[in-house]
Amino acid sequence: MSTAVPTLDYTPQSIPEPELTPEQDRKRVNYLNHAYGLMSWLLTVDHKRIGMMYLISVSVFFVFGGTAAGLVRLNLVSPTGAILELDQYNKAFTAHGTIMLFLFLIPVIPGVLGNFLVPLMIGAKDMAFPKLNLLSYYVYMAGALFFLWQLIIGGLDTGWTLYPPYSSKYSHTNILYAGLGVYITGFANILTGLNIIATVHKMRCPGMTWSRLPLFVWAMYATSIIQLLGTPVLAITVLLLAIERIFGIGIFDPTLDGDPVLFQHLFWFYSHPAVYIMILPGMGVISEVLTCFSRKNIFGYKAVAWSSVGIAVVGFLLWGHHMFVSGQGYYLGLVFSLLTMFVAVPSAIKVFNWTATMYKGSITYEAPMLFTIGFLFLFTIGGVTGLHLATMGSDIHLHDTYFVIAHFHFTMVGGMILAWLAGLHFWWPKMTGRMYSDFWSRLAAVTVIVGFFLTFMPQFVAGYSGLPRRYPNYPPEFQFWNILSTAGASIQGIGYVMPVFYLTASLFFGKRAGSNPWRATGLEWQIPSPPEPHNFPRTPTVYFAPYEYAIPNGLAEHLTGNGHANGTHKPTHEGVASVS
Amino acid sequence: MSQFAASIVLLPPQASEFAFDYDLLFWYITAVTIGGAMAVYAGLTYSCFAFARKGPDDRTPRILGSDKLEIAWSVIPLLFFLSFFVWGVKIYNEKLQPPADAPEYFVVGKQWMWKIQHPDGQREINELHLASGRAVRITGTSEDVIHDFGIPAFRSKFDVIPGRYVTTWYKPTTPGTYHIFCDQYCGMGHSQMVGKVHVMEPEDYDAWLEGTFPSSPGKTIDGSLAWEGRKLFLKMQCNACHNQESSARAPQLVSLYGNMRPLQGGTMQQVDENYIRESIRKPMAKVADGWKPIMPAYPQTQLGEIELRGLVAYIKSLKNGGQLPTRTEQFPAPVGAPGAPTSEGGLPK
Amino acid sequence: MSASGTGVVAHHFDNLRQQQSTVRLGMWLFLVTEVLFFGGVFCAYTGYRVWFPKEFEAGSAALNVGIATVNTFLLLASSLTITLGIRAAHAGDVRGLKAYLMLTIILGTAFLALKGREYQLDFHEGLLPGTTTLSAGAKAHEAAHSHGDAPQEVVFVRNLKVVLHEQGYKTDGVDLSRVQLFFMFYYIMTGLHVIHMIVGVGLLVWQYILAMRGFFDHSERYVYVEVMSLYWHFVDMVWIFLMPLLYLAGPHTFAQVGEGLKVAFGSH
Repeated sequence: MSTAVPTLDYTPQSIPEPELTPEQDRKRVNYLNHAYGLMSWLLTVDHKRIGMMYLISVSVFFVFGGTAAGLVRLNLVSPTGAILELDQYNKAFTAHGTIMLFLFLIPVIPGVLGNFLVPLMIGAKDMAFPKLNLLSYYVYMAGALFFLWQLIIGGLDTGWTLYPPYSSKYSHTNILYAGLGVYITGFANILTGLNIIATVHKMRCPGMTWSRLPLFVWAMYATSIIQLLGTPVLAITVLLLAIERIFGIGIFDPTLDGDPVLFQHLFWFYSHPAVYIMILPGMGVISEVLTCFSRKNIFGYKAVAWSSVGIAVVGFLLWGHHMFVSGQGYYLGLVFSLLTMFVAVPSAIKVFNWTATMYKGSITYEAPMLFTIGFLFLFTIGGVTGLHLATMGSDIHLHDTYFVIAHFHFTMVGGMILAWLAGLHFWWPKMTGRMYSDFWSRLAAVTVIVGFFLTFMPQFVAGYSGLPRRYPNYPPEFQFWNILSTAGASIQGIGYVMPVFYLTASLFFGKRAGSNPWRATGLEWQIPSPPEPHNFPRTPTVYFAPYEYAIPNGLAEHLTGNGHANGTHKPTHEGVASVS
Repeated sequence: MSQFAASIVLLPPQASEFAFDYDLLFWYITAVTIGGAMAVYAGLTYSCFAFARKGPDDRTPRILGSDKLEIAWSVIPLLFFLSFFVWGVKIYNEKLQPPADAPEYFVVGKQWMWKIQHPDGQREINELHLASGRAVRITGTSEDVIHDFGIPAFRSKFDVIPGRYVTTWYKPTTPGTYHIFCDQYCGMGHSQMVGKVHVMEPEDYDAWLEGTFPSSPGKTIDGSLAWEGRKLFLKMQCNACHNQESSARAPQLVSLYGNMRPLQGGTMQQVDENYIRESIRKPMAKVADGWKPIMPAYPQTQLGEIELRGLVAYIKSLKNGGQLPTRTEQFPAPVGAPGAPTSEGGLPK
Repeated sequence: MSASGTGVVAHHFDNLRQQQSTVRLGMWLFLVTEVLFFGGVFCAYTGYRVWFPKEFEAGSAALNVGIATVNTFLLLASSLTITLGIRAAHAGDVRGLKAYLMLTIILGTAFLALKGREYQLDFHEGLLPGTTTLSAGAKAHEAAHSHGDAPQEVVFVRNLKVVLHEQGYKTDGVDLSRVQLFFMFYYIMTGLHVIHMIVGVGLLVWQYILAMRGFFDHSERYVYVEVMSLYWHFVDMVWIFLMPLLYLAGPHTFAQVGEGLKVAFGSH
């Protein structure tokens, strides 16, 4: 294994493959060009191809969900509803919520980046169950297409929360079949989660111990635990609702001695951990991008890794904080509020650790880093406003107002979608072998961040003054904030459309990326871009923990035996506080 | 332009005792969280400027972490969060303990309206009149799906659930008109299910209860004393002589109360409660000038004191205008009944 | 016996042990999700049983505990046979494996047949929530006992009364129309279990076919029988929880087992 190691100003986790000349690169077999034809894609079991198929799907669904959002915001320009009738508006906001949550936010990072990168990051040839991976994609597509079809032919007007008795007895829309679509996509999530857990446990290459795992893998692992444990409860909840709707026997119907609040308990038991399914992968991406663009090790690796697991576990115990005004019972509310205070701590820890990572770093501001900084700025606001909602007394006034909408958009869009864009821009050269326009990508990042802030900041004000959610018409004194919000939404929309153009253009006109354009330390960067079908020419061996940006030539010295002579460089020992 | 600016809402009004306590908690949480966020932003901004890459040979120190810092920035935020929790529970408890003597108002939500009933029987649709300074208890339920009775100015809301009663309470402080919103999505008319809560000075509230509050001339509040009086007016056939069509047999009663009227014999009489009462019990005592003394007397045996009070209240309610009921009308529609065809019914404004 | 050259180890695994261990982990993870799935409906059932104990006991009395008892033993036996199948596969005894797989299939199918019979009886007795069809027993009972006045209760309650009356079950203080809630849970929980059983039997048939085709000639592949048995044991476990919850709420006697079997195999 004594390949000559190039002189690097950082230390990758394993020995990098030799850099190829452009001629060699063009002639090389990679996962994109080793087989052509539609069937080679539709029947692939290659995790990288499956990841790219997910990329196309989620992007299309994002456009649908975003269009629904556009309709909602346009309608709200006028207090009496500018473009939609009452029931059309209800269908629009339900479509926006369900499409964005079930078809985009939950599958995006696990499906695209998780599938593509987890095997690469741990030095494996593929996921643990490649055929199951492909099945998972098809189940997702079947559910998603079926669900979208139901929205088109009948619409759904219950809100994504589906509360009975409205959804079981009173709504005339397509709840059964739409519910079935959600049920099916849930299966896909479970299978993806199962695959990732098995992969991380069993497929790590030699030297890749748990404490050398990149934080993205830790985040994906924690996410998969939640997916595995939470999604089945959604399945049974939707099933019970469907049975209630078909047979009319009151599990949730108070006129037949059922309890509508029981539905809320069952629903939120999944849907609260679901928001952690959405945000944890994004946090994993942030750790990767931040360290690379600050050229510094992560501050507090163990803290960040374990906080992901902590959020996953504690996140299951909080669901009742969505139900403080629902009549769930005083002591129950107390417990949920107290536990929610505890789950805020790991998120805060992460933000502090990331900020500390930038301290004394050497920072550049390409698009991935701009998205990351935007994440830190916006997610912090989203996180702290969660405290207003977690506090029982405070939630009374804010429940079901625009304050809640602003809070979850700051975390899910300002947090998660910015992290997704950061990851997409960071790993785009690895997935496609091309670089995109630096100027346009930075501009897109700034546009999205500015547009987002303008869209959702006014909603805190409107919500605190009492503007309720899901109102197509509202009192005129709220119009000013709604107009500001819609203006911001248009700016945001432009920011989301821009990457479609410059990323697509990069496929044809972009500079070839080479194996490691960002000079990052992960295993995925030590092989050529795009990777070859079986990822690694030979099984890599991991010698170092991730993010050793501060050790120049560490690998070379380690392999030639010089590493141990220098006391400050002990690459095989991790952790231990050493603030310089 | 200034009218537009005046219509932008910045902060919700504080119209109840609880609103004041609530806002203290809210701004405390906001202050602490903004403080924390600013600390993070300060670090972020400083790093972005001070540690931008200086050149290709820029080197960074190998900092792995600090257990002390981890503990510090775990424990300190947790302590703040726990302070939010404790104060929040205190506020929440306040909402759970209505004063023992607070009268109970009953709210029923149904797609897509609020039906409200006062303790003495007055009924309202989408409106709630309350007296400032008097604590009230609100008990709610729903007839169909889950709704939520929310009043931002009181910082209060609670889900109304079919098949169950939920109770809260408030003590309004500031007179004014504030929004009632439905705060749980309930279908097509969710945003139409809004109303107004009117907080009035106690005297005005009592007048309103009686049915004589001047804001709605001639419109009696369903269930009020004046409404009862109006029913009696028909039942006792007063409108046989006192009606809208002609004042040949009896004086007009609309816009009568509070004015001076000439009596037979040349004196002027202030038309007040006592005069009306006397005119019903002993009509011969003070006959209005210009009419014959043909009105029958209604002694205690025919008309009890409470019923008499209702008639007086009804005539009082006509002081700013209105119409007497027609002869053929049997049962006046309750105020607020949608599409009620009576001349005086219809939705309250 | 080297495995790499014979196609037993998939291309993305380094060695056999890694593959086997991964396959096992995969099945355990899947079973965890199933626990949560059934757990949700079990929790809902528990909530209602705590709120309406009398009604749930009445509902339980109306079920056929005889069939349930036999079914329990059938499932326990089938868990034994599939475990013996693992042993056979591990030892390379394909004939033995096929025999045990077939036994398991037979026992599982017997369970399903009895369950089908039970559903048929329930339908015949009119114990479907929201039903509008009066059962034969109820018709006879009302013809004999009614005094010409119209019955006040819903059809389900009238059907239920006849069934409970036959058992000598006292129904005072029980809101019989609430028993529909119990039956809703009964059909949902046993229905989900039946679906999982059908899938399980299907998978067993598939493994039998694979065995006939020589798939299990490589004894390293015993791990697939092992994960099949994990799934099968899980389905058995669900029944072991489900049966007492549904069938044994309230007092029951051994005599009722006999009664239930008589009804099941009698002439209807």
